[in-house]
Amino acid sequence: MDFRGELFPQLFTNGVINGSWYGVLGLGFALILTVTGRFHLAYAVTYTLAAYVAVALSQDVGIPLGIAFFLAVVVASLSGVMTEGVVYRPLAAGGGGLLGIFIASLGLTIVAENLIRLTWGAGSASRSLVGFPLRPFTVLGVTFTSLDMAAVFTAWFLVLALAFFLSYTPWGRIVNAVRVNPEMARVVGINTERVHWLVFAIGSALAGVFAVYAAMRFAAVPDMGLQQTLIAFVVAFMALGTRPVSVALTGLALGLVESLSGLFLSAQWAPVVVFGVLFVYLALRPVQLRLALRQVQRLVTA
Amino acid sequence: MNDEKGYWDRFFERRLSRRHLMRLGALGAAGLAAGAYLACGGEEGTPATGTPAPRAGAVDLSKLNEWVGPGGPQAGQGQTIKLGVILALTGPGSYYGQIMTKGTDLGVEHVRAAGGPNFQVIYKDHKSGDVTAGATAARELVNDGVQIILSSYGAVLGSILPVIQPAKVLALDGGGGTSQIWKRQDYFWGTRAVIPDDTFNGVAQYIRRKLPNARRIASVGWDVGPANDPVIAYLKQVLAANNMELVAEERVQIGATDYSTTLARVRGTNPDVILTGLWGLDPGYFMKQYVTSGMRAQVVGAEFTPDACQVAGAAYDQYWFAFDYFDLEKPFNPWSKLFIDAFRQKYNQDPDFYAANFYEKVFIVWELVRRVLSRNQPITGENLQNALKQNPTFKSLYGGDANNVGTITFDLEEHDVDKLQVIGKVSGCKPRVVAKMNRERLLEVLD
Repeated sequence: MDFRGELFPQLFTNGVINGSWYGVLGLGFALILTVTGRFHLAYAVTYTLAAYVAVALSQDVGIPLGIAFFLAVVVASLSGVMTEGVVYRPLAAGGGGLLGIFIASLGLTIVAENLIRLTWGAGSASRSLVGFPLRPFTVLGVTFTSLDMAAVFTAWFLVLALAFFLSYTPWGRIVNAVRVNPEMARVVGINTERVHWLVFAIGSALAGVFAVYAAMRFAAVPDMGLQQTLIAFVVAFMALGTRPVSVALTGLALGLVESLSGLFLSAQWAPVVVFGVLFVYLALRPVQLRLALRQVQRLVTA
Repeated sequence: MNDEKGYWDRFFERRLSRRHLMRLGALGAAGLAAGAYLACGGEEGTPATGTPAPRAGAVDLSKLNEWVGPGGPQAGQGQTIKLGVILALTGPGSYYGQIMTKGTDLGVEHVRAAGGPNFQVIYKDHKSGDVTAGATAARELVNDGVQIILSSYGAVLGSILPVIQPAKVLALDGGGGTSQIWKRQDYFWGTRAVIPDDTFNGVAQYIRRKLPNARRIASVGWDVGPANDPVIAYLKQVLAANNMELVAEERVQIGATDYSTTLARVRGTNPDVILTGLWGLDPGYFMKQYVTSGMRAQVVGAEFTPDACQVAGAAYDQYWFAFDYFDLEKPFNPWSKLFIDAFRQKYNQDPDFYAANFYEKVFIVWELVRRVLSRNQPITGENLQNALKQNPTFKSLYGGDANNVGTITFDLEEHDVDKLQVIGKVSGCKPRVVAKMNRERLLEVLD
């Protein structure tokens, strides 16, 4: 394989674009998972709904794209909060447990996907979001678009903003407290119910932002959310926590591995590569990886 | 849980103050409004192109018998015959299922109006190419006593063959046809050209005329396992005969939306032309990203549907297509025109070639039924196939001229048909035929 040709820099750039995207999705998923303990597979519903709302508002109603974008993110946020309030919390209060919530989440995802197909199913349920000034740029033989640049910039802005929020604001510290020890947080008077709603709102909004980007870059399709949610799960699982920058860098690494696999493999193997990375990680993590991390820690602290 | 009251009891006790009730009311109203809006947005019958199709006046069916044969008791009038139809009713290919259903229903309606049998259509879903669902659907139909099946996705990627062959049930496929891999299969016949294979000669000859410097050809197609190999082998053979070479062969997942890696890999080979073997919405996703990839190669696809064009938008203006296209602008013959008018009247949308193929297939089935009944034989899959083998020519919506309907003839060895195909260009989601061809050569260049 010729690493000096156009292919490597192009795939590397693609990896940065997709990886930045994966990082933010993983961050939203990780925040919900680690603070509330909910395995929120219906993250896919939030993602898909945001894309369709943006398309409907922008193209059917005629609202300017920027406002439609904002409203779609608000709807995504509300959908996450409602899922917690209407589905997960009653189940948890009724002793549904982790498995019950997971099954409910899966059911919700299937129902919502089919509802979207029924709602938008006159021709097919696919809708493309247009209106963004999509311009290609070629720099040193590498091509990317204005939309790619906007997505990468937005991703890292959101990561840094969330890092600041969690570290330097009272509400951010409350979220961290609930994540680390929810019982203790309750004892000291923190309303954990509200914190759960907050993280569902934030995590879902993050998904909403990139769902709208996906509708612009590809199209809104009913099953668009599941693949992205699985990637978000892989990122969240591998990131070892909720530090926004760590999660985002994990997403970036995953995007790069997935894209650079194109140097050796055809594109249809990309999903296999993503889950292959998770498999290798799971296989190594308990022993070798932990030892390697300790070695690094020793070197850093020495 | 130590509290005997449930979550919702506590929720309503705590939350249902007047203020909360008003908030909930406002949220509910907003939700209902959004729901009502969304429901309106998805109204059935909206043309996929976004351009309202003209409504035809009353469609005159009086000449139908003149074109397709006589009706009456000898043609099955008064009899009810089960017709199994296995389509992509759900999943990413549900567009196909919907349009094929409409074509089938219209065909059944017209056959009955022309004095044919009453086909009792039993629809089954193969979930857009799920082989397990396809085999299950076929098994259910066979158990239900069905003797004729209209299938899609190339015998649902071969999965129905082990079911229909031992049961001696006849299956006709106007969706994916036989492709290369399911040819010569007993009880299975394709009623469309083998796409993309049958287009290769005509496309290569057209490229030589219109893009004389094009030598380097890339291929991007669905990964359908071993079925890819004979297609690529044949493509290489055709390209070599036309002084061209295949410089890249990229396979992608069915339903893929992100082509960034594929495009980067293809770009590295510097092709002059990219041939795509993508169907459904996938060519739309491909073209949407292709136009910003920095490449200037000509893309030639294996299908045109308004849906995919809607996904790609203006990017489709750079797309050529080559397949057994059904021309709406210049109907091939009077029966084609009748079909187009009737379809528009019934569904308030334009038909496409899938609708035409399934409509036409219902008439092929009727002709087979007529032949079997004329010999006083029972309607079985075996008798129907024998009737097909004895005379493999049928009336068709394709071909013909202003006064005569066209015909299609099955190849008794290959089990497929050599249908008229076209090369087309697109402008503002309006397709335009620029050349006509058969599987051997280019027949006519219009532009």
